[in-house]
Amino acid sequence: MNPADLSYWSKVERLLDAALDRPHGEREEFVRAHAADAVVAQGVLDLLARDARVGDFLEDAARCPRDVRASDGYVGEAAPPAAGQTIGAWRLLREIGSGGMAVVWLAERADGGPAQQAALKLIRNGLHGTLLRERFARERRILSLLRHPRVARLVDGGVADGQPFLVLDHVDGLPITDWCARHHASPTRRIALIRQVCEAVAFAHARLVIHRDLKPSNILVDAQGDVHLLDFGIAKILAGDHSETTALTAFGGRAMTAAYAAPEQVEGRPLGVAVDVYALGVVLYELLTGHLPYRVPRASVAALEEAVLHEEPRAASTAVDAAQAQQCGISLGRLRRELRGDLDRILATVLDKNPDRRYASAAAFADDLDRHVRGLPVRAQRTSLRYRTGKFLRRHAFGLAVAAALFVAILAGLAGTLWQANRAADAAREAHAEATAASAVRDLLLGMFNTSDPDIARGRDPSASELLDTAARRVQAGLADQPALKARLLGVIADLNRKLGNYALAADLFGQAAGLPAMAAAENTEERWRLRTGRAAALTLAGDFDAADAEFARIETDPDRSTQPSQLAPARARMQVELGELRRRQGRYAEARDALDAALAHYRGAPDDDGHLDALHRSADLELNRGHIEEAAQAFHDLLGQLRNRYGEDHTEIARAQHDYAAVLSQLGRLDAAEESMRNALEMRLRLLGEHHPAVAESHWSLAAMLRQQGHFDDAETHYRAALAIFRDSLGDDSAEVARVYNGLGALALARADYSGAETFLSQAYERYAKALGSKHPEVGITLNNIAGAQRRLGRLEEAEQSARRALAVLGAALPDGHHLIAVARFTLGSIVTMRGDFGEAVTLLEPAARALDAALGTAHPDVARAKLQWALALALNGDVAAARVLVDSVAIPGNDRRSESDSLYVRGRVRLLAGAHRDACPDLDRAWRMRDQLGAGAQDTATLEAELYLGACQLGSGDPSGSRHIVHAGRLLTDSPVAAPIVRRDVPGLMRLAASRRS
Amino acid sequence: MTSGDITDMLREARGGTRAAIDALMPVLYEELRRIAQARLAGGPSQRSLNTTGLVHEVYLRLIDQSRIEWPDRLHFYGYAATAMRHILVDQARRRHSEKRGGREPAAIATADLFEGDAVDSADWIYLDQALEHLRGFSPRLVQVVELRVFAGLTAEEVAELLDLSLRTVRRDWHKARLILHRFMRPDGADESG
Repeated sequence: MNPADLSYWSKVERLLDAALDRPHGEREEFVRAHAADAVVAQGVLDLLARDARVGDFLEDAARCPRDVRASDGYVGEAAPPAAGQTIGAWRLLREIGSGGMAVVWLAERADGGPAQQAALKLIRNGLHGTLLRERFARERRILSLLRHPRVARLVDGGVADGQPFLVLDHVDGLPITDWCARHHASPTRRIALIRQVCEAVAFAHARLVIHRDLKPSNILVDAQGDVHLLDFGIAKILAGDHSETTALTAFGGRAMTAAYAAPEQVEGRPLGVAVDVYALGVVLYELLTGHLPYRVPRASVAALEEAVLHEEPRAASTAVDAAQAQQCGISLGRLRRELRGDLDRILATVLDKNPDRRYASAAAFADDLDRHVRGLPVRAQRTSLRYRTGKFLRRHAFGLAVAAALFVAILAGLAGTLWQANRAADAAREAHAEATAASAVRDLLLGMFNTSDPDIARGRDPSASELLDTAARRVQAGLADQPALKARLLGVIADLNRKLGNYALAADLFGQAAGLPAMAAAENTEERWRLRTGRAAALTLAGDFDAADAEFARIETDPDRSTQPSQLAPARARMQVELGELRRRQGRYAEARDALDAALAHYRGAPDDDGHLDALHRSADLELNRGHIEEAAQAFHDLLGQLRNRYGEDHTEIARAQHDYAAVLSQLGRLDAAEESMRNALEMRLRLLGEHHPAVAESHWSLAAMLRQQGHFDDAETHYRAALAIFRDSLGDDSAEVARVYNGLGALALARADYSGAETFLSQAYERYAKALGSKHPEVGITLNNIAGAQRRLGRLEEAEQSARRALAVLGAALPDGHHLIAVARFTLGSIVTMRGDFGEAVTLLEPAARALDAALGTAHPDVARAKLQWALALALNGDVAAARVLVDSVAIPGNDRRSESDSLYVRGRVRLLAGAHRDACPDLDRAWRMRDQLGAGAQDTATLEAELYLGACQLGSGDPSGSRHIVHAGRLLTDSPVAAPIVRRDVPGLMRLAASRRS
Repeated sequence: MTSGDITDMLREARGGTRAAIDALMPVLYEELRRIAQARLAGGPSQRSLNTTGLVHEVYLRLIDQSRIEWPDRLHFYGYAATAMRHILVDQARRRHSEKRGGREPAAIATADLFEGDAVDSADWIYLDQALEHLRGFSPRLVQVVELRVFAGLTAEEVAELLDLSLRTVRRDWHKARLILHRFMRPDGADESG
């Protein structure tokens, strides 16, 4: 193509691009107005004119092979599936459905397992089939946690003889649209069905599973009129973990699916829960009006997609006709009236093009439908113009029912114990106290539900926190004649607040209760201690360590002389457990150990006390902090057994132990077991605590850290972000927990080689940690250590060294000798000092680091190998080549991730090169170079260039002249590089001269 | 060559090592053709093999499944699409010359291999030429077409491979079809027949 043609076609292509963005009717005018000249205009118009004529040109070439081949499987097995055939552990019974993506068979277990019928999907798409197995393995653990009566479970799946398949619960039902048509369901019935669907969708969303392909054929209604959702999470398996697109690809099924796709899905943008909310809106629209929200002239995917993107749906009330009214069993006029107003507005909100303006969740959508049905004003009415912050609506998740149940249970129990406490009093007084207590509790409960609080009166269900607020206000204002009851009730409300994660409020309420004048009496000493301990514990959880310390000091100096020490022993043990927790969080581990040992000594005499297991748990936590990892793992394992004996399977304490056990397993490098345990903990906490509880965030955070270590960076980020949002909402942006998430995001950025991103996140973490925990806390030291790593990678060696020295100082002062985190800080500093060129000091840092890590983590741990290799490099550079050689040959290269593998190969190659062992060194350096090249941040990545430079040196040294090319290439770029290490830059001139001399 | 070697080569090719790409192409080309011929010898039930099936089978044979990573997979399909294009065009040329009464058919004729495909042999040649024209001013459109037509990737997979939005890929595909249609059917003949 000659230059004139080239220029012509470039102009044509650009203008064509712009013209295709315009509606059909405006294209010609647009082209004529914007073309550089008449020839270009004519060229574009010729192409546009072809739009109507190209038909399937090339489309069939792109799609035909798949369609033709996919049905019979291309890898030899030409026969279509037949009844009686077995696939994996399943025998096919009869075909029950067929779609673009799969043929569905009713199947039964054929492997002697428990008799079970299920729906078996034979996936059609060949290319996807090969990838299905690993995606399936990845997703199935998540999906297996989706246990909900309205959600069909994923039972099994895999690839059998080249045929990918999925097995799901078999549901005998009709698509929701067909069911409604057959039963002439009223609009109200149709709305009720969608609300059932919303509930199941909300359940899955809380577990971070998006359906992505909701449509009537995936929503079945059974003979009892209950809905069942099919294929939850399946779209992700079929579309792939990495592309956040939906499975809109299946030819044939595509037009139907596109009809329920949200605008962001059509555009291929990242997806959130909002796509499911949108799809639910489309289904409701279809159920109410009898057709889809967009009327497109012909069944064309492109026209439909354009409508989804740009067209506002017609109001439902004007889109219905007599046929639909008949379907609903009412007159057209009545149907219009029912839809006009609220439902039009609800549908406009749920079908908003902008996902941020839709209902923030399926629950919020269901809630508004519910309000409409009950005749209450809907929210869509008032806020459709206003940007919804999801936050306002999310507060709902913790419902009235949970709070009421908690309260009734606890207060009923309380009323029972109150009079027992007054056993000394005579019968009349006893009866009177009982009556007063009972009526006080009754009033309290009634008051909670009959509140005049304007916030709650706004019509939405009050959250548990709001109920507690109301309760607290009523207790504070009343019960003047019942001080003991008042203190107890405040204590209960405070404790519930602590459980809900409202730590500051809990501390305040405990303080109010303990401060009541009646509490000062000698007979209330034990109660006073408990309340003060509660306050100190809440302050500890809130991160206010100074105030917690002061509270413990008040208990220690409590002027109590009348009470027998033995009577106070249980309260004292409780106090010591909480004091141990404070000391642990402060990083004062020796004192923490003393406090917990004192408490455990008491519990040895009272092993059935509830506090015993708690003390054991905190003790295991502490061992973990002290670096005694194996001991901690054993302790958690034992604790879990004891907890299950006492509480059964489902309990927040079990979730907590499982969470902590997972953290320990992860430190021991048993990542699979750790991930499983953590996912169980997260699931249990979601179930028991709701999705906004800090404990849920804690599990999100820990799971993220594990996923990060396993290299699942995108999933890790999702969980980090979930944790961040919850911690921010519940504990405040400046809390230590938010800092912890930032630290994690920083580590994630480091792993992704995004060093400046890492530095930003880590600085965010550092500021918050220093403010929340003080500058001497171990977390501050760990963060500084990570910052040093980022700065080193960014080539800012001086700053990196300063950060590393501060990290080492903080950790050295805060942690016991031999702790592996001190060794990690030494390792970081030693690496930096090596890069600077002070090999003597580097050896004195790296040798103890390597030895301490070996002792703490075991020889097989990848960090130990890295430390030893770095130590060997410093030794070799310092002149002790023989010792270095022996050391590197004793180390196995860690294969856990490619970055540390390439780093380790590089270091080993360098040492071997320094030792003159070219034959061994060259392959190491060659592999390190190639790996870094693939991992690296572009061709000028310093680590890649360094590997290339020494590879060149090694090749030259072993007589291979091609080394010159590498040296010259890498040497030039390194000389100009601002981030190259001084020791490397020092080597460059000499190597360049050597290369030049070998060339000539 | 073992599957491990190919996997390494693929990794290196992704890193942009020119030599690795150069080494990979002929291997893919040969392997695609070898499997195609083996299939032809295997009897009628195995005859109707098509581009996607071929590419896929080569993938299964050549790639060490335990070591391959997602981006490498996608790159494989990128290279395979190019190799597939060469094979189809070479074969179409041969068929074309056979039809015109040229030389004897090759010892192992691949003529019937791609019967299922919708483009006839002359069209493959025209398409090849049209793609080269297109490459002159928009290499990305060529990539999109190669991946969709020769490797049988969906628009979603192409978007992922080329790191483009789905919308962009669909738009590219739309544009490319119009432009290639113009190159291959300058008179604007209808496709509907």
